[in-house]
Amino acid sequence: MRPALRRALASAALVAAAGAARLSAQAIPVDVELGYRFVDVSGNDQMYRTQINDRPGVLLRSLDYTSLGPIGFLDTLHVDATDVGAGPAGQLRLLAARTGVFRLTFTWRETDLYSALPAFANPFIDDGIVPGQQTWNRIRNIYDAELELLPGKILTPILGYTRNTYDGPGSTTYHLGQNEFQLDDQVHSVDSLYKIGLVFNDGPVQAGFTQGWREYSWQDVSVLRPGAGSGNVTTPIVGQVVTASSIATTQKSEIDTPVSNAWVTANLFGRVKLTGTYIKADGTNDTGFAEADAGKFVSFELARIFSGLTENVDSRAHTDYWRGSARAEVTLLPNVSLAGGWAENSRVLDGQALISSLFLDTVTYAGQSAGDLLREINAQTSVEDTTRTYDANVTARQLGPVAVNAGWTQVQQNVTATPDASEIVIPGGQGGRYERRINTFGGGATFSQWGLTLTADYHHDSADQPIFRTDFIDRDRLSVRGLYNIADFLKVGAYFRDTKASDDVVTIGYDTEVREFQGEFDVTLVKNTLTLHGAGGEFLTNRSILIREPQDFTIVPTEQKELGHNWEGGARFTWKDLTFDAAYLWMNNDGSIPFTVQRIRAVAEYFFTRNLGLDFEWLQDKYDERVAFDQAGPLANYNGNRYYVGIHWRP
Amino acid sequence: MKHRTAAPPVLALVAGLAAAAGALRAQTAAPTPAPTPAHAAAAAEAPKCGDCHTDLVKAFAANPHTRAFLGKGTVDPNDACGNCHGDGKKHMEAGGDASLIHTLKGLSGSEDCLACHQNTPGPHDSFQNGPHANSAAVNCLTCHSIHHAAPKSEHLVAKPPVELCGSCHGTESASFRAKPYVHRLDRGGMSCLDCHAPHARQGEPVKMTIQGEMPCLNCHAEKRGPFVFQHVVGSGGTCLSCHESHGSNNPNMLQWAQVSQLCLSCHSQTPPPQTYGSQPPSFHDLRSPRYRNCTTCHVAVHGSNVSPQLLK
Repeated sequence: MRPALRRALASAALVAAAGAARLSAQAIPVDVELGYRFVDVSGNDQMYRTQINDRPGVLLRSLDYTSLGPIGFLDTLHVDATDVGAGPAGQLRLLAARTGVFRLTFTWRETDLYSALPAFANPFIDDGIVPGQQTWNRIRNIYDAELELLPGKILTPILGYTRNTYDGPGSTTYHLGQNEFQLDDQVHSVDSLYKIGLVFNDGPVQAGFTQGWREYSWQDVSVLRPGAGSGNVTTPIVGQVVTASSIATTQKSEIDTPVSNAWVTANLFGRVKLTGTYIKADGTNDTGFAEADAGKFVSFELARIFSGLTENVDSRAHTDYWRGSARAEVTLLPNVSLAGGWAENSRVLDGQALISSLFLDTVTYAGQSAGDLLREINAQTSVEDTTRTYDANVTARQLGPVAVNAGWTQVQQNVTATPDASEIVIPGGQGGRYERRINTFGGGATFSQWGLTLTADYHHDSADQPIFRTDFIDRDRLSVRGLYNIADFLKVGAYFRDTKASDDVVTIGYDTEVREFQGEFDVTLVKNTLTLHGAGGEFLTNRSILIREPQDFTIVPTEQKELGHNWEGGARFTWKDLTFDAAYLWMNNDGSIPFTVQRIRAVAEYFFTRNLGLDFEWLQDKYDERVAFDQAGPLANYNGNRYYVGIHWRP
Repeated sequence: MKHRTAAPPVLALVAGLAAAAGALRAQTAAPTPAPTPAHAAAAAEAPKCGDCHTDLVKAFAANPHTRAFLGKGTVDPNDACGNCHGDGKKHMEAGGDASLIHTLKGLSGSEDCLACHQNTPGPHDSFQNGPHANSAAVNCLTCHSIHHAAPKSEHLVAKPPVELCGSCHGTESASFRAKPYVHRLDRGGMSCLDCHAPHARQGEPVKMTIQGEMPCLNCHAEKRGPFVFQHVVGSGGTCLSCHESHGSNNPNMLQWAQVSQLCLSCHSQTPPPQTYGSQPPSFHDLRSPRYRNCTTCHVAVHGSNVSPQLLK
């Protein structure tokens, strides 16, 4: 939905709500929060928009309507909306139904997507030039509608439609002639899925079949950004200063993917549940690409200088995909069940691209004119990716206050890749057959009594070999959780997760640990009046792996380190018609990107009549980044304050 | 264009299920709901529940349980109470003695829920052995509140889903709240349930798309492909090979702060074992910031249809 339309809708809702407020004595099952948001940002506004992006304007913060009885033919009507208007993300949902006859659901969700990162894709960050060269300011709209006919009956037909659009401007970069140029680009894409299905439900046997048709279109038009003709490299390359006077590219893709999805479950003798699923989705992508460039460029590949490029590409990628599974759950004893199953998915990709490149007015390094040069590439690629999974587990859910489970899983992965020769600059690892088998053993237990809940889970994964360099050979995952509740007075929680993964092969040396700990409390000092809450913890990440430095092919270790600590605290106070809710969050991270985040949220609501209240909200997000290698440091910092004033109507 | 689908065999299967189900039902000790002392008629004759529980009953008119139990056109929520709470006659005669009415709490209360909701609604859910299977620690009433559901939340969940999930999954919740690069769960109705299936069986915690893919693609459709020149996804990897979905300290929710280190983690051919995609970049001098920003040239890192080196 366009911003102007959103604002108009939100404004109309504001007027309607204000008028409706006068009808406060009337009992209408509706709840509306509508207001205006002011935004004040100091520092890097683009970084604020990348991370937060709350915009100024009219905001329908919340709408909720639920019918209390039949409305004409309907016996259910529910509408709710959240954050519609100023953005950055809003949602509207509708449910209309008549029991046993139909059920219609509709959801609209809009998201403003903004990115202007200071250090990402930015070779000039050390010169203090921000933002990076790849940015976007786009809107995604997702509409989803589904109609069930005869819900709850033996046969339930289903019709559905989903539309996902992604539009807007951005900037990107293009490597051409040994230089990189910034381009302005405009993207428009539509992903549509039509589906029709039938669900069968006859007590012990349930089944469903859905046939869908996905149609996807993508268009990306890019042109050289005004003033960007010098590119990122201003020093001569083989004696030639590489510049562009024009670059224009257009890429269009159309993808058709029919999707068949079927499942069946059967309950036998009250003890055995069998489940089977099958998905088939074959997609075909037809792409056309046209490019016309002019300037002074260098090609190492051709060993020539050239003054223009005209390129056309016609490509087709086709994937055959299926996924199937079969599973049995057996109740051995009351509340003790054994389950096991098989699942497999297979994707076979075949790709072909006809790339026709005409290099204009080529000149050898020695200065000899060599005319135009046409290069034709017929690239053919294929990838087969198959994953097969077997698993078995046993669960005892109710051994008094204790529940336990234990299980085994084996994943068998096979990848066969055949790249085109044009993909290979330096040979090694791009094609071939790769296999990997992972066995996982693990289990967990919970205990819950006297307001105390303890949970622990542990899994050990063991693989025979990696497919990617970052695949583990051994991995241990531990999760421990404790919660303690004393009536409605006190809640205390502690959570711990730790994952260690490694591949000790001496030439890879992959080692990762991700550890998270949080503790929190929630205490009600005065029932229904005053509640305090707080939390704090640690986030730790240590990743290391050996890499080969491409400039001299030496092998060196590289590390990603994160050590974050967070503290939070807040209070909620309610007295008669006044509610006050405030919270403060502080997080500091040391390591590869050192920064401090501070967030403040303060909300006050006062109902000056039984039905009508005033809302005030202050949000502050403060981001302070410190100097680190290849990062933006203080150039990224911002302090974003938002002030919302609105009315809350709940007749 | 010719589309191959699984329609014919599957439709035949579904058609055959009707007959099979009939035969099966005859043999099967069907998972009949535990007998609930439904006495709607008796309740109608007696004083109404709403005489005392005024607000509760009034609000229950909008509750899906009311419609599920009531006949066409009848919308008196008083008639629905008995289906879960049993005969309230003695409770009423005793002036509201709480011990004389059946209440649903904790695990035992959840067993009453399962009397009707035993059959999970799809092939991926399991109340028998999922991580949230019915136990003393986690049961239906841990998350669902029949009378006091959170406003605007589906399926009568007790709190907004983000808050509800966060009440046990504290580290994930804190990551979303504190880290600078996250999916904004506090905006536009996005919640944990967009990606996760709370009733799922062991090993299937995420909601897959209708095509059996990672839920990321429900929104990020442009990353789906297929591409002539695939990269990571669709060739052995997933979105999570590079990204952190629960929030990250790194731009674009990447696992590494420096893009070149992320890329070189895989693209660094070293002696055996041979790994996929490990060819090193040629002549790229990492001492220059130009080459440390890999995506400045290799913009199509999610796959390309026109450039073998993912340059466009």
